[in-house]
This record gives sequence, structure tokens and C-alpha cells, in this order.
Amino acid sequence: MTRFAKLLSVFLILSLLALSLAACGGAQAPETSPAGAAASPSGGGEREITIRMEPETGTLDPAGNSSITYWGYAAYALAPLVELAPDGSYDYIIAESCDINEDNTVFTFHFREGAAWSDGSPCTPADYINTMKRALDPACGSGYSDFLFKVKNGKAIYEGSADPDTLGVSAPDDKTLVITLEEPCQYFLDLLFLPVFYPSHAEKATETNGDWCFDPARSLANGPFYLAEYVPEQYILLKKNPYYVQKERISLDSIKLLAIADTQSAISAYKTGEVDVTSADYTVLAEYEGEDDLVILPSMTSYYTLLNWDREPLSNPLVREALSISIDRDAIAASAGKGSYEPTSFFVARYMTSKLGGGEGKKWGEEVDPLLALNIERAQQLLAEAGYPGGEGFPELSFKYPAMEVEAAIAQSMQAQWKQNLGITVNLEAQEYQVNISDRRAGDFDICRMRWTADYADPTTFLSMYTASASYNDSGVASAKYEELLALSEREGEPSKRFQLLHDTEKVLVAEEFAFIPTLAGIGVTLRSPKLGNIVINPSRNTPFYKYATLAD
Amino acid sequence: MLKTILKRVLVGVATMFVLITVTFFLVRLMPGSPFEAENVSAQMIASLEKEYGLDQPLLNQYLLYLEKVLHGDLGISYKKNISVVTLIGRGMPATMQIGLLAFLLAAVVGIGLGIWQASTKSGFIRGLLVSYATLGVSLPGFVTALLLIVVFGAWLQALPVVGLTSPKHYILPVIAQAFGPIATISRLVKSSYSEAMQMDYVTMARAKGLRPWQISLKHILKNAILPVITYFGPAIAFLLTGSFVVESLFSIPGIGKEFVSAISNRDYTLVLGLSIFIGGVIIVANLVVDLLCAVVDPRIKLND
Repeated sequence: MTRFAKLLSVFLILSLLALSLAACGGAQAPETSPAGAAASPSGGGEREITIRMEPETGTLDPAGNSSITYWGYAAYALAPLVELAPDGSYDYIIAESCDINEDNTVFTFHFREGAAWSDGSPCTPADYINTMKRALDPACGSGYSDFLFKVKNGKAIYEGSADPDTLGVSAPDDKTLVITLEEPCQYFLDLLFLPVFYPSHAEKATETNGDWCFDPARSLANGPFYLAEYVPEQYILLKKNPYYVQKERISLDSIKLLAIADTQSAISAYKTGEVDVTSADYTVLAEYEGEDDLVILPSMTSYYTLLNWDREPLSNPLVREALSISIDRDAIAASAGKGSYEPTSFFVARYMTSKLGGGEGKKWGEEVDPLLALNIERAQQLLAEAGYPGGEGFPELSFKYPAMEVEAAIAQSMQAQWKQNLGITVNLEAQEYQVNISDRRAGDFDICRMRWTADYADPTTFLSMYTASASYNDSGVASAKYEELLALSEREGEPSKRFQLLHDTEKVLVAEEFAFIPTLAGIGVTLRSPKLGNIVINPSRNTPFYKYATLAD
Repeated sequence: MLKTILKRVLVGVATMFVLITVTFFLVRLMPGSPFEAENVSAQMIASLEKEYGLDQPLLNQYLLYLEKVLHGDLGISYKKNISVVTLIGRGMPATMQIGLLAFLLAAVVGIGLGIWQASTKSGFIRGLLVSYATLGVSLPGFVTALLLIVVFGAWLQALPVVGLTSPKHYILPVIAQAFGPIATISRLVKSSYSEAMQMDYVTMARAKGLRPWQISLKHILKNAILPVITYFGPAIAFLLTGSFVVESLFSIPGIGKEFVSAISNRDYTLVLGLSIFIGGVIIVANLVVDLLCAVVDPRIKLND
């Protein structure tokens, strides 16, 4: 055998190896779940749609370190007691009604007859209590545990100073769940779509962050679809749950959540027909303009810029005001990408549904005037008053932001405008994402970008972030007037008056104290097949849900 | 020969030890914590760090980690709560399949193009091949991959672009992975092949009246292949350890994608585990290539 032939044989071995590996890959296909499989309809045209999801780390356990994957999954597989309908009213799912005592501290939920898990076992209050109790262990890794502090003794249990059994939840019988709160909360029902208020099977889901949640045999669903297949980093296959308490509302047979990391790839996959629904970005706006495929929804995300109150000269309110009113938000939006961002001077997401004036479904930003307006002359005057006429003697500040396209556009635009309008120098410092979070949480910055997405559909998801004791108050905001107004709103039981107080609270924070500088509001761009109908917009996040969607032929 | 191999293996083990040590301390130097996120309290971070032993002195953690590695335990991914060994085992098949197929494609097509370029008499074809080689070497991977996706996926709608669920799904990612290596290999083959073509033994072979393909494969290529084999080592290591760009653009669940997200997540154990794995692959690939070189060219001695 010549040496060359030896080399050839090495090639052949390698190619055989590749083929055998390919064969292994093929054999990996998991079996479908026994849960409910017998009852699912077979034959005929399967009505299946494919939705893109972003691959992300995290568990599917509502009590664990849930993340983007969880949200995509839970929207279909898990059912809350109550959820918000598009018009701001409540859609009762597992509960059929809820009695609330006079001062909004005791919530009694009555379960629907026939509420069940996908293996047919009944869904009871114990399943909801199971999640809450597990999420009050700090080792659970849930980012939503602090919402349980509203429940009586929740905080004390989390901090280890009370026994878990003293939590203010009880189940007098199999059909009744009573939740007692620490203090009155008008928007408690709006919180119920957060993971920690979702159910997990009291007998099967006992290990927090355990691998049961990825196993179709043990991961049960009480929502419209159950987990039939889970292939890590690739897809989640969900099938119609025959035991869903409102199964008459389901039209699809199955939903496949397909993991695609890159947005441009996802847009291509939409064009090839590999997905029916995908989130997209401004690059598709021109191409799909006026077509049914394109859905544009304002997202509940606010972009704003933190000013460090603990550092000179930002501790001076005159300086903060000058910085706040010397920037043109339209210019920032234009540089960040028209169509993906809107200029805003509100801190609260401007499309949040308001209850001012008896809840006519008006949006937060529509019912009052903008909080800040561009006024360069006044800004220059203020800066002079603060001792820096024409920007003279003003120290160079650094502006920290994570190296991401939109954040860079905001920072660059603000830097240029401050230079031009006030004559001050700001140095840009693009950082890696984790480093930026780390510096921000440690208060190690002069100016830092910030972004916040509503956790629930009430302005307090934004407005409660900057009290002296709040864990997100990274920039040292300290305002007695703001905290007083916020406390007043917490005690106000009448919705319209409460919303007026909340508007006042925001005004003090943004346009009196100039605590930080709101700049942009996010916009969600979605591509979806025009064949889909009955898509529900969930007002909590202003994102479309497809659980009750229909598919035209 | 056996002694040499043994020596090389020992050097490899020492390299691994240095790799583990340096990586262990380097990842800890990165600012940030694996548990820090937008919505997690300081108390929770502390509680999780305690659970994973991150509150202990760094040296203790290091010794503990070394002990575990010796037992084949690479720890648990902080972000995914799954053992690192499982994660590597899960990502490896996809990465290996794409990598090996891309390697075979690159080797066969690269060598073919190289020979063609060296032996063609048409200036047009040579120009074409030279421009491809230049393009392939200089075009960044993400541009190639996106071009393939847009042209064959979105425009022509001829090929799928997400995942690896059918044989058709392999076509675009494999081409995207092989595109650069093909160019490099063809350039290497072209230069050494044209050099070898001038040799006396080739003229001799021609004079003997051998068939052109026999001359080409048996006489010229055999002598021209050496620099290419040397390149195979790093190339196969590069292809087998996965490409972040190709894996994330084509949504392939491989380890290249895992690696990058592990770093940005500060998932210490996963970063370390993948470094060890990839380091191992590179060391083995280089060893095999050195042995191959000795097999192909007896003048190369391994025992020094």
C-alpha cells in the first residue's frame, strides 16, 4: 500500500465517522409524551404553527430562574388564575371568580369546576401555593420572588426570619384559594401573570430548577397546550391539552416554538416559511409596508439615562435639569433607527392602559402633556446659574453603556447635543453587557444607560423603582416629595384618583427632581403569517399571544 | 516512535494543566458575577454564590476544581443547572457533524481547486480561481453565512436555514463553514503543486508515458501535500470546535454557540469545561497531524 493510499484511507475513516455521527443525530428524536397523547385527535389536517423563540438559558419552572424561554412556554402551557384581556378587563381562566375584601388585602379565588392538569389530575390551590413557597427560597434564582413580598409574611420568609408555613395563603377546600396581603394593593390581580403566581404540580414539581420541567412525562400543563417534546436549544413542541378547562377556545392542534438566535436568520426563516411568526426589527419595515404580515406594537420598554446623584456636579438639580432639557429626543430616535424607537419624555411606558377618569382605556402618555421639552436657552441659563457659564469649568463626565447598537446611538446623540448646546464634554465608555450591569449596580458611573420593561400592567412597575430603599435605585435618587406621593397613591382606593396621583409622582421624579432622563420608548416589530386569526394582544407586556389563534387554509 | 508519542502525550497533559490554571483565574478576573442579572436581588446573588461555593477563597475553589476535573467531573453550569459534561455531550454531535463534513468538503474541493489552478493553461480560469481564493480568505464568516442565507433561503427559497432536522439542512452551514478553509487549502496546494510540477521526477514520469492523472496524484500531489497536512491540524481543530457565527446564524445547537454565551453569562464552569474540551481536541489534532506527516514523508523524524 502506498503512502498516498494510506492518506486516502484516513479520509474514508473520517467520512465514515461523520456519517455515523449524523446517524446518531437522527436517532435522537425524542418520543412523544404519554400525557394526554391518547386523547389528542389524530389524522386529518394537523393545524400546527411555528413560532420563533429566542434561545435562552433558564428553566421552565415558574418558581425557578425563569427567563425568556419560560415566558414563551408558559404563555401556552400554564394557566394563571386570572389574566388581563386586551380591553383591560379580567379574563378568568382557572378561577371563575374572585372576592376581594374592602381594603384590598384579602383575595379569595373560586376555582372552576373541571380545572385539571394534562394528565387529568385536578388542578387545585395547592399547585399555586407550591410555586409560591418554593419561590421564597433565595436559592431558587427567580427574579420575581420580590413580588411575593406583597403576600403576608413573604418578605420575612425570604429573609429567613419566619417559618414558610406562616405565608399568607390558605386553601379552605379544594376549590378555594385565599391570599392575604401585607398591605392593600389595588393592582394585585394584574400581578398574577408573573411566574411566581403560576401553578406547578404540587406532587410532581417539588424540586426547584429540577430537570422535571423539561421532561414531557413529568412536566404537566394546566394551560391550552402541553409539552410534547423538548429538544434543548432547538425547539419545544406543544400539543392541544384535552383537559384544559376552557378547551372550547383552542383552535390549533399544536404549536412549535423554534429557537433562532439571530434576528436576520429569523427573518429569512419567515421568508422560507420555516416559521409563521417571528419578532423582527426595523429592517423589514420598508419591505412589508402595508402588508398583513407586518404587526407593529409599542413595547412596554422605556430607555432612560441615569445621572449619579452622589457625584459632583450631577448632585446639583440645576445641572440635572439643564442636561434633561438640552436634548432633542427626535434626533435621538432618528439615530437609533426610525420605526423601532419613539421619542418620549415619560418614564412610565407611554402605552400602558390608564385608569384615569374611570378607565376609558386611554393610554398613559396620551392623557397628559409631555413632561420635558427642548429648551436650549433655559438650559444654558441653568448651567450658568450652577456656576458653569457656557460649560466653562464643567468637569468631563463619563457615560457608560453596554456595547449595543441602540445604546451606542442614544449615547452618541446625547453626547453630541450636550457638546453643541451646552459646551460640555462627555466621554463615551462602551462596555461589555455584564460589566455595565456590574458597574451600574455598584453605583460606579457618572452617567449610565438604563432600560426597563414593565413587569406588570401598572405604572408602579416603573414608579416604585427609585425610592431610597428600592434595590434598583443605583443612582442615589433621594426625593421625599416623590416618596410621599407614591405612598399616597398606594393608599388611594379609587382608581381614577390613584392614577392622578401616579401621574403627579412621575412628574415630580422626571420634571421636578430631574432624577434621570427618559429618552426613547421601544416598538415591537413582528412578522406573522396572514393566515393566522384571533390573535390576542396581552396588555401586560403588549405582546401578541397565539394560544387561541386560528389558522385559515 | 512509541516513546515519542508518549512524550508528546505527556507534553499535552502539561499543556492542559496550564490551560486549566490560566483559564480558571482569567475568567475570575472578568468583572461581574454569573448570577447578576437585571432583576435579581443582592441577597439572591449571595445565596446562589454560597450554594455553588463561590464564597470560598479562590485557591480553595481552584484546588477543589482540579480534584473534580481529575475525576472527570467538570461541574454544573450555573446558568443552566445542567452538568457541563452533559452540555458538551449534547452540543458535540451537531458541531462534529458540521465540522467533519466541512473538513471533508474543504479538503476535497480545496485540493481539487489547487491542482486545477496549478495545472490549467487558461488564464481566465486561473484568474477566477485566484479571485475565489482571495475572496474566501478575506471574507469574514458571518458575511458568507448571511449571503448564503439570503440568496438560497430568502430569495431562491431553495434550502432551509434553521436547525439540522433533515439532510437538506446541512448544505448551507457546511458550505459556510468550508468556504474559508477551501480557499486556504487551494492556495497551499497550488503553490506547492506548481513547485513540484517543475521537478525532474515529474518530467521523468511524463517521459515514461504515464497517464496524466497518475502523474498528478501519485507523483506530484504526494510530494506537494505536506504543507497542506500541516494546515489540517489547526483546520480540523477549528472546524470541530464549532463556529459561533455559523452555529448562531443557522440556529445549530452546537458547542461554539454555547461557548460565547457562556462567556457573556460568566458561566465559569461552562467556560472552563469547554476550554478543556476544545484544548484537548486541538492537542490531539496536532498530534495526529504530526504523526501523519511522518507517515507521508519518511524524511521527517519524530524522535527528537
